[in-house]
Amino acid sequence: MDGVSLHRLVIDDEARGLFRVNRRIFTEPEYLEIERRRIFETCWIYAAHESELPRPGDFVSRRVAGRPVIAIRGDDGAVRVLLNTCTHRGALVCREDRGNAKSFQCPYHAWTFSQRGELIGVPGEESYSPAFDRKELTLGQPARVDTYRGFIFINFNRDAGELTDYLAGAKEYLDLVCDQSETGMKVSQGLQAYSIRANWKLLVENSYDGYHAVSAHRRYMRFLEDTGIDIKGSMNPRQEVDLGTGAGKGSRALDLGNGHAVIEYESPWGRPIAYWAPSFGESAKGRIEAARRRLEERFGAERAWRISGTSRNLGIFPNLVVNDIMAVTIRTFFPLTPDYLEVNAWSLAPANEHPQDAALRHDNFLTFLGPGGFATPDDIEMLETCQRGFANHEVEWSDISRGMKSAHPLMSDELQMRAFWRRWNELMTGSHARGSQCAA
Amino acid sequence: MAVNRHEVENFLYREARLMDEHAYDDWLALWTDDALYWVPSNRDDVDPGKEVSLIYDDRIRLQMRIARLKSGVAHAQDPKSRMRRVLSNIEIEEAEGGDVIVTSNFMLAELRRGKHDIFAGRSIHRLRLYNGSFRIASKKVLLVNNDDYIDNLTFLI
Ligand code: FES
Ligand SMILES: [Fe+2]
Repeated sequence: MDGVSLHRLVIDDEARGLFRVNRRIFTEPEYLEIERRRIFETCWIYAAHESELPRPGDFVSRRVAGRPVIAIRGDDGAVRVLLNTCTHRGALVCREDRGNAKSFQCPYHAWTFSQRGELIGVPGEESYSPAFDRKELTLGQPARVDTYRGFIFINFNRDAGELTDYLAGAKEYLDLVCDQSETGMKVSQGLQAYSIRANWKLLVENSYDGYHAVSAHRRYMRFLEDTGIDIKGSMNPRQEVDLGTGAGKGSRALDLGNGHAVIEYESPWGRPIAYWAPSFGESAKGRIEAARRRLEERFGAERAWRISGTSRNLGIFPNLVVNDIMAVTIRTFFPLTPDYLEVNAWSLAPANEHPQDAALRHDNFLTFLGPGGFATPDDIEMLETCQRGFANHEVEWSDISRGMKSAHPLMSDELQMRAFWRRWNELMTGSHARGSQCAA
Repeated sequence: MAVNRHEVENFLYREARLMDEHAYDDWLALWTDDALYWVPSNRDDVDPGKEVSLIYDDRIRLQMRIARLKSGVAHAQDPKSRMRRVLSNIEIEEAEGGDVIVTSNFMLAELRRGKHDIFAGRSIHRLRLYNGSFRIASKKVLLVNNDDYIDNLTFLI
């Protein structure tokens, strides 16, 4: 089928503790074509955040999974997603990134559409035959739209299951992020947009790769160490620790179902949400500790600790990353070709955050992230060099076996990536890779 | 005091050369202690306290940036970008406190690992006289492509 081999793309040899991914799937355009249909048109895809649409008429327009769409809050308060292409002859009906609109008028021949996508204006309509029916010319919509705690997802498959079922164990981790605030979480205005000349799945792997931090980001980690943070002890812990108690430095990697996965670890650094560290300064201490007590009142000591004192890198299949570290990043990306992807990254924060905490968060976001940050460019460089290396197609496999036999997989293992790859393989091939064996 | 246009131009040309040639320490020495180095994202006029920027460095982060570039493990600048830029359209304005506001356009050709990029934009420098020579109190760079998907920005711009 599809004229391309779907055989042995992933080797999942549990008996021997070996896991391999065939590098063809990073380079061959045929696989991207299949991914478009079997993954990006069947999975729930993150489109926008409700906080971007506070008032009726507020909209954002952007490309989601490669398609121009508009997310808009209607006068009835409901959020809708419209496909941004005129039903007349195709033009984009909305060309602004964001704004507030009662309706959208296509610039080409001035057809006008309501906030719900209904066609409400056609210049010279008398020239059409009686069969011309405005109702058939409503703007397209994705088959399904649903939200979870402010995260708006769309799905192009009418028969897809419910979003809450799809999110599976990832819901708990979105809850840990959203419970940080009593006033709700808000996406920062503005985003960082950057491109990477590499396959999109390499960014999935990288986003929760706890193994690379100490090596690839060595200089950044040194900055943190200079502020008194124990990086080596934290990023490469050799024991799993009960994160509920906060005893000792620990981490774990979890398969959350449906291809979602997370690494969760005791924060070696402070978190403006409610976990003070010396780098934040004495003046912030009282305020941040009060926030912690407030969390304890709301959720009890154990959950309050988890919300405030642990960090998490969450991957929601296929292309949403929520990294809750010092700042919270929402990152989504889409491939244009097998070796090129575009990334959008926003900062998510409590809606009524104290200005000084907001400054700490913002400061960290800008230091670490984005094309001018101190870490993202090194990640990009690593992914781009991997992609270059794949030209040696005789070297067929990438190894994702780390920690496969471990009873307690850590953030520095690769369980989270295996969770992604297993789901990817199922959707692409319709079968499981489990039990496949490495050639001797 | 009338500003000497020639001196301002020479200062900007020298800064451009130091950036092109990765002369990190010499470039850092051009800045005041209350330096602000800012490259907005999305638009030219964002609120840097609330909206994300590409770069928004105070003196401390500027020093970190330079320390990182010099560390030998700044992978995104290994190998380094090869760069040359030209400056033009220089307009000079005197500001309060004896500072000078200089706006200029730049066109930068960058080559790295076989990829040739053009960056263009307008820079707004706030220059301050210090012991008889200029220092940069702030610099804001309005990239033409700040609303597009941006590649590596780890060289000095
Ligand atoms: S294409 Fe939109 S009105 Fe003609
Ligand atoms: Fe990284």
